[in-house]
Amino acid sequence: MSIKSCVSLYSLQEDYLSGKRDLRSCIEAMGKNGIGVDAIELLPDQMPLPGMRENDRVLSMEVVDQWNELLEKNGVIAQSYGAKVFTTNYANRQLTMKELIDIVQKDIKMAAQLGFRVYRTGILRKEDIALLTECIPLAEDLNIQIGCEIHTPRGIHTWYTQEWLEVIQKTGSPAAGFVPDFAIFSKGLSESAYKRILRDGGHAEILDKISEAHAAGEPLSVEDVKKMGGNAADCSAVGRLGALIYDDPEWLREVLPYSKHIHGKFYEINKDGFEKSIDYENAIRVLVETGWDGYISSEYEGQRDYFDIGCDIYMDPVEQVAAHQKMIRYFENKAKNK
Amino acid sequence: MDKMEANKKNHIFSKEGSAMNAKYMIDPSGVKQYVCDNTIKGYEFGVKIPYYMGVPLSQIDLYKVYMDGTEVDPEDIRLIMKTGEEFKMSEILTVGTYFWEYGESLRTVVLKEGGLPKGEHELKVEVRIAVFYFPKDTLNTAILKFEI
Repeated sequence: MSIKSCVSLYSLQEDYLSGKRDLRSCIEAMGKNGIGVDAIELLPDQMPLPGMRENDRVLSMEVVDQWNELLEKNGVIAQSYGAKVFTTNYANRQLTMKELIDIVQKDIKMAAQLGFRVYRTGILRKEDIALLTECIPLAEDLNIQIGCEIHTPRGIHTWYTQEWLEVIQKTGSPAAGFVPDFAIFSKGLSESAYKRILRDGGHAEILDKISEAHAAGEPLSVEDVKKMGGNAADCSAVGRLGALIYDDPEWLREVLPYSKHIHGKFYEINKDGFEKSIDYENAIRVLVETGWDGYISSEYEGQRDYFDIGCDIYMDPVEQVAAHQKMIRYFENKAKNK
Repeated sequence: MDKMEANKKNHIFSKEGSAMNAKYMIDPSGVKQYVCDNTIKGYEFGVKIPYYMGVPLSQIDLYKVYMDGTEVDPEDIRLIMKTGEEFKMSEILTVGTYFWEYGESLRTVVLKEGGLPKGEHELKVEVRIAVFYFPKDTLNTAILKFEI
């Protein structure tokens, strides 16, 4: 049993945004002629397929054939479909439950048409539990799992997760599951955030004190930071840290039996090859100990910390993703050899 | 050196703005006169979405343009789709099938007879996309100082 490799093309968002890469080029960079992962995750609303908009998410056979050919040529499978959570298609109102069910079912059909195994979505509102429960029979027919992301600021023991867990257990359906996101094991400020705050005028010595206090479980307040002489940039670290959560990686055992896919969220792999702000070591140890054999999708997000005006630093996402994959193998081997 | 290149030389993105994807929000090709039937009928520029996905135009909660500190009348703004269709601000709430795609430079035209006068100008764009988890007052602002 071993952890299988996947990359979310979300990781390559800057290249797509700037026009450096299109969908095909993103897949080529990840496939067997690139870094060589087993699978990909796509957010179709970020990188749409031809005809998807015009035909309201019903793809032609020609587009599906081209998609399959593209994946085959690059030696990857379609693992996870990153859905948009459709509630605000019209800026002036929320969609009704009936409208949402129709839209999500249409979306699940497109995901299945493209061969994805997991339909990654999320629970943002209480009503979403009922909405997704309505979609389980369709997903079961189409052999795709509705995977609700366990995403900060909510963790494994918060009600969003617990109520969906009840649905999974009550229905007993393999078409209902989870996609844990590793940012629920966040320990502190990421490398990319730290550098951004410094560029915004923050002070290393103050940031270090804020980080130490956070790690000690006695977080500083904005008032505390101001008293230390901190400016607005320094204070922003308090907000960033306040938004993080650290779940005990052992809790993963409660949701892994229902998870085929994991989001390997990361912000920046440092020069030593590690994402120091997230507890990958213990999370992967739990995966190895339980014999979990699903996919971890590299989900690089720290590039956005370099999107400030005047910043000309370009973080190569292909290098970052390759380094992330290497880190996963390192911790996997370490846990196996224990 | 062509006119666009000349524009680019005096072309500074201001740090006063604050937006998701900030450095990508206003297209680097800048602002140029909008020419139609051999006549200058206004000016135009491209804007990239301050979000990580594409959305239908109906999901745009706010889209304001300021030129040299004055807000442009929304009725003078046209959003031009890749396929050539044009929409006014007062129309976009019902446009559910045309999308502002991620990475697309949304062609934005401001109708103004004769276009912009020669000299230095400042373009400010404010955008809000309706997203469930964004606070209602979330505003993405980008500012470009340029010369025409």
